[in-house]
Amino acid sequence: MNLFDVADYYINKIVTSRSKLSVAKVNEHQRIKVLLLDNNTTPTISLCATQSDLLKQEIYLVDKIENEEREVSRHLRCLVYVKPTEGTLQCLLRELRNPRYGEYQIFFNNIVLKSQLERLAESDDMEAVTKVEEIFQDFFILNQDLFSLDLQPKDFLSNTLVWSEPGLTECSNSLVSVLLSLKIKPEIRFEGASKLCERLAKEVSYEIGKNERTFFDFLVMDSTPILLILDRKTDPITPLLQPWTYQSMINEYIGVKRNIVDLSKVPKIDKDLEKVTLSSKQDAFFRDTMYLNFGELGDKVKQYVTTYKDKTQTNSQINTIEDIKNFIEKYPEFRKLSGNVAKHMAIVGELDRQLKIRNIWEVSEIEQNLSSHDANEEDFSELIKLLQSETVDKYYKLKLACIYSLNNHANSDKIRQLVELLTQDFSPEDVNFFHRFKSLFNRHDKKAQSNHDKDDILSELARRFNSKMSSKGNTAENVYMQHIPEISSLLTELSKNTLSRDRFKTVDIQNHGMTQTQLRNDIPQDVILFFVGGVTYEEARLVHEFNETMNSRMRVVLGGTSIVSTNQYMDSLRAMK
Amino acid sequence: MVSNGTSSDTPSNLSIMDLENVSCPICLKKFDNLQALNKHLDVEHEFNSNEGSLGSNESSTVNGKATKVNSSADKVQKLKRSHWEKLQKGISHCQACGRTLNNEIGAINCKKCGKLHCRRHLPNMIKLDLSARYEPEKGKWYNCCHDCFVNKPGYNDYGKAIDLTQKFFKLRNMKKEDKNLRLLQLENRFVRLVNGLVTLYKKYNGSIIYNLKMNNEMSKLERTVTPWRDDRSVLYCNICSEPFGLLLRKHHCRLCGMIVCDNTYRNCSNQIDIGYLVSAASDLPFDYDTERDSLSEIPVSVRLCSHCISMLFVGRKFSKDVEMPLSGIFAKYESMQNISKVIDSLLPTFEDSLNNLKLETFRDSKRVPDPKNLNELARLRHKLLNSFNLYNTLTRQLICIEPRNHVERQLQNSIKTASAAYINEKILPLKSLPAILNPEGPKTQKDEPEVKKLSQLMIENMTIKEVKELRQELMVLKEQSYLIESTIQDYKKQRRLEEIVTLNKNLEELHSRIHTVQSKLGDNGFS
Repeated sequence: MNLFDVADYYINKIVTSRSKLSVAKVNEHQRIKVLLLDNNTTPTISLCATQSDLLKQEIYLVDKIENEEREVSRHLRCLVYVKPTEGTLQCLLRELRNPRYGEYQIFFNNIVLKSQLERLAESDDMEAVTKVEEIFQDFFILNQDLFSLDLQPKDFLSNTLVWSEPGLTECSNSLVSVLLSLKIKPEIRFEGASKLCERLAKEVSYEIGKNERTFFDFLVMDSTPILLILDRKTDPITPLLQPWTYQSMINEYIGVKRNIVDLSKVPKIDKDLEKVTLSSKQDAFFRDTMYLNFGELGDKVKQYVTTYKDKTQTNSQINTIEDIKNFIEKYPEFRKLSGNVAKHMAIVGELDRQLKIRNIWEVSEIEQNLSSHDANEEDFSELIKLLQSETVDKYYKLKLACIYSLNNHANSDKIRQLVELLTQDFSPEDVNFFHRFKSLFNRHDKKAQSNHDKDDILSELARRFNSKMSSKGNTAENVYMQHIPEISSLLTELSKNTLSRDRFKTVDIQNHGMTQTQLRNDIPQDVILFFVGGVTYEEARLVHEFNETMNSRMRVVLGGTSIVSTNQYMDSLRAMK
Repeated sequence: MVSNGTSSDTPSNLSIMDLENVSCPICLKKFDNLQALNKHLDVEHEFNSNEGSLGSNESSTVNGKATKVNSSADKVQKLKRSHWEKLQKGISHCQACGRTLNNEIGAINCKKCGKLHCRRHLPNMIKLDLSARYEPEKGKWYNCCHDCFVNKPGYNDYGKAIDLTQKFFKLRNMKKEDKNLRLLQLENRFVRLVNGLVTLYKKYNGSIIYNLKMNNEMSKLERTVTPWRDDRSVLYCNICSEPFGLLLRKHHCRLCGMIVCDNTYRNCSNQIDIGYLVSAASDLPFDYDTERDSLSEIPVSVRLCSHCISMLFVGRKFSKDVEMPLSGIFAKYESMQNISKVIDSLLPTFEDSLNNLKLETFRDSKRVPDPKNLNELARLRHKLLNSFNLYNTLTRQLICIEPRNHVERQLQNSIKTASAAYINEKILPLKSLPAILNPEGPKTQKDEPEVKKLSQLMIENMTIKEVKELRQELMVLKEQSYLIESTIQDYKKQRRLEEIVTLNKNLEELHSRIHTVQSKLGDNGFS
């Protein structure tokens, strides 16, 4: 269940593709290839393959199919990798009617409808197409166990509680492609209280049933894999808290898009470092540090710089010819290292600067206290103090108030006090938002509360599990990482097969040929968790650590409609009507 | 015995959970109390068997224990055990961590492969039937080692892909049949039309009544080729759907008979000279020959609609373009590929013999390596260096070609990067060669700076620059053909006949190219 393996496999399939009946028309040994992508597949490729990977396969040209300005060059072979949407299909039909290149091999990243294939066949008058294949990667792979669909709530919701029709299709299609790419035919479970999850679960189940013979004809596994669909709204605290691990901090304070970190806004930044790529696949240092918290990260970076310095030292002593030879041999590696050191130094420096100018240290401490302690006079007075502080950004103040309201909605006195404070120096819209936020989550919390009493033993277990994990990482109680996202206890429950059947319902399946009792008995070994409404890197870290501790007894892949930072999550809440 | 559970969390789990209502950590059956669960674990999941034999310490074999358990629960069918590895005190090691097995770390057989493991290294669960084979549907849960778990069929399967090519071809052929019929009809009409027109032209050309007769006969002929649509019934252009009027005149396509407009912007129909048309579709069986009958000079043209034009000619243009000989960048690139093929085939042999040599000298530092081997190695190295030089030169030549369009410019850039990466990657073993094998320093090709200065001078009708370029090209070509010839010899020995065929073809092309360059150079060639 390593998503990078999946990506490598598929990309390799595309770039090394050779059609068996390579038409004699195209010169046999002519191998220069063009790769045509669309808006959807460009990020897929750029996330998982480097320029030099492509060059090695003689792909010397990459272009977009939407680009109508492309020049005719019929000595080239063309590899097309697109998502089967109406728009791209139109482009493809136009392309085939008057082919710019000598031969086409077409790959779709999801299921193609029969009618689409027919239209394609009809417009291929020149018989330029030599291969058509479906592969399934209609999602974006960020870590080896994290994927995102890059769908924003406003794109898939018609209002807070209802899917928009195209959004639902899009989302379920993408999820189906995740399942197909991992060759999994799962039992689908969903957050019973959430209408969104229920609808999506049913849609995915329907799609699986529809395509059972043609696509989902995998070997039966002894333990049925689980697709668990969750709603972001049941755990609103996690995406509201300031994160403290490397990957999530980059996302929060600088922003990552398709593995590219944009440092151009950093003052006095080197020209070469304005846009840097950061991929756990290619960058070993990042792979080691992406889940570390800021303190550990500092140590690691220091270590990294020292080893780098050591290396330069040895390299500076060049006396003999042998030294020169060694130096020249190591030079490319050495240059790569120095680039990497500079990159991480720049990023960490920027993170540190952001933390200071935004007063994150203070904000985060109070946040964490509020979210993990019960109502507490001390915390409240700290909160009030911070709300009156001049230096803290209004955004963080509002967020703090929201977090407080989540945990202490019963305490109406204090809430009133908060509202008074807010009305003093916030715009009416913001105060309005606060009220809406309160009403949005109060409903949920009452339900959760009743569940909570029942699950007391379990949460106790979860705490143990987590303390075990954190002791492994050798972090004593960290003030900034007290809050443990709900996903952690879910994982523990999954591994013990004690996931509540009342809270997480199963989609009725008649066609799966398995009785309900059988399903009940199996401990899941493969699990896909999917968050409607976005997932955080913080949760990705927990899943990753869980996978490490479980050591293949259970494998979990996490996904979400998008990856959210606190800003994005607040914005998406604001946009809700 | 419970402590043998699937994970180390189990004991704490059980102690916290209500003791009245325990469930088996493996199959989740519910039990009233711990004793019942214990018994269940021992019997159903055979937790005690090896531990028991360890605990009793003496010669009680696994089998002996098994019969005892059997008698205590004779109704339960037993899992096959004949393949189990027997525990030998102080000798048996855990299959995963290699520690000697003892009471402390436990000794359990993997239920699938039967090998012994310590408690820590039997973490996984698998469904087995009674003869210990993987049975995903009807089997029961047993614990197994990591290897057995990972190797169960379909465990790490990923990457579903469905090849639609055949389905697509079938669909395409279905659609194609209709289209082919229609195309055949059009082609027939086209041939008849051209033949008729040329005949008419030959008949009346030079005659005084040419204008009078020709037009008349032409329209008669055209109407026999295809029936014309009735003018009056058509109000809109068949292609662009614009209404006809004073400004937009009606025209008949001479092949399909449809009525279309002649708007120059939308190109619904065009008046095209027949000479041009015939040369664009030269594969059709016309009665007249383009050259012999000098059709291109006949001042007769026909009106065709854009549909018929694209049906008749776009496909022809496409296949013509594809079959065109490679030019410029593409040809150069092909030579580069040939050289890289040579390098790729030479390099492994070189590395092998180099490693052998290194091994020899390593074993016996005083022994002087066999001069024959050394020579062979040096020869190989020389050959490789030459190939690299050639590759480099070709790359440079390719980059110097003036790109015809944007695509070619992009291609040049990419090829440049790719070839640099290729050389960097492949040349490494040559660099790390010991000094004894280094008769000459690695050659580097130099640019010729004096070319620019002298480019003004003329020798006969070629500039010095041109001569130099041609000479260089000749050199490269000769080198290339030499390399390919020697590779062909090698391949012949190795009986790799298929590759020889392609190489031979390349060689022929090279020879013809050498010939043309030589003839161009004439007296300026090498002495």
